[in-house]
Amino acid sequence: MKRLVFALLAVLSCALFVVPEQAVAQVPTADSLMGDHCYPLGFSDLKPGASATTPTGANLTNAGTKSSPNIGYGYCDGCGTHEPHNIIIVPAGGVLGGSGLGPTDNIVTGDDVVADLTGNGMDIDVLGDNGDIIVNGNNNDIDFMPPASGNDLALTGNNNDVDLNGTNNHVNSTGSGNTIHN
Amino acid sequence: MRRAMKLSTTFLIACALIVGALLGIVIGNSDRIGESPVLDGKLADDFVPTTGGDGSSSVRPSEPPPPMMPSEMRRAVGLEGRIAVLEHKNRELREALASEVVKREKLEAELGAIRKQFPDAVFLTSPLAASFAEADRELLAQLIRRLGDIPSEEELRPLLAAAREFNSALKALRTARREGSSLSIEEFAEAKSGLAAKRDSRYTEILGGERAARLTADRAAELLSLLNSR
Repeated sequence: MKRLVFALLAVLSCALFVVPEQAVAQVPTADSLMGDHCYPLGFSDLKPGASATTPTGANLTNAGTKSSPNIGYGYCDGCGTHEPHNIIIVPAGGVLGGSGLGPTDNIVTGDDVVADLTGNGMDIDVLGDNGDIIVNGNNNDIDFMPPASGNDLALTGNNNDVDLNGTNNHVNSTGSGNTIHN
Repeated sequence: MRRAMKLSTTFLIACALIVGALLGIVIGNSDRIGESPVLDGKLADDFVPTTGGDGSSSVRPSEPPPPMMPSEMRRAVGLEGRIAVLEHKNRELREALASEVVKREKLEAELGAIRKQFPDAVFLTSPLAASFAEADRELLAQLIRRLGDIPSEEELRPLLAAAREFNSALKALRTARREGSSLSIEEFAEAKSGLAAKRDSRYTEILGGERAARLTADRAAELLSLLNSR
């Protein structure tokens, strides 16, 4: 009996020690992405093949085929210290083309997405796996949210900041001054 | 001669008396043989399995007879005294066993909770993980993390094959795009979507629809649905 108890304790201890940090990371919520108590002022679906201009002047194109999912975008009210901003969500398999994007744009990507984004000062959160994301522009902030894995990010601009969390994510930078934090 | 006969008669009488006394003891106690708590099932009768309010089973001793004091035990004679001592020891052992059962159930519940919360960590510490190459272990841990449970060994190997096949095809597609192929964003996305559909279809074949849906659940889509519902 003593041996059994000690064996169980040993397994418990091992499991606690090897728990990877990623496994306990918090998944961002709608509020954490938009700001506390910040609600979208209208939220629209961008159907495959369709284009739209956001209230802040960014151009979005859903470059997916008919079977691709709709891309969601909306303009959010600011509150407290948060500025009003767009939130653009690319769900699994979505294909987004974007230009004129800027500091008021927050882009969230899911699994297997393809995104080609042009702008300066964007905030990009990579939530899903196996995405292909091209960022053309400067001073953009890109965060890989654990457990995101297998994503491929190409940076063609300068002074972008990347938080490379998750596993098997790859960044290919052809610009200068891009910072990648592991 | 006469004296020798007298002595042997006395000896025989003494022997007969001793044998008689021994037979008397044996016959007199014959009805007690088999009263051992182990032999007549008393041990089992004293344990009453119960079910707790939460459905968990436990074992507790039934109402014990009033314990015999050590001085009483010493006073008790013969077989009865020894039986009393054994019963006392049995009672102590049963109480210790019940306490260990409760401890073990508590530990198993804690371990179960950890297994559920961190299935990939539990997988990585298992002997099964050692049978996979390090890169495959990492890939499997990712799948297990998304799935929320540890698939059987029969499921793990085809899952790994499907994930590896997808990764290797995607890598080739990315390389082709980087090396200046004429693929447009739409064509690249279309090819990638085909690879993902094939992979997801394999996952469904291996795991069934419900578990495969857990594996392929998209957090961005959940977020989109949440925002659309506001």
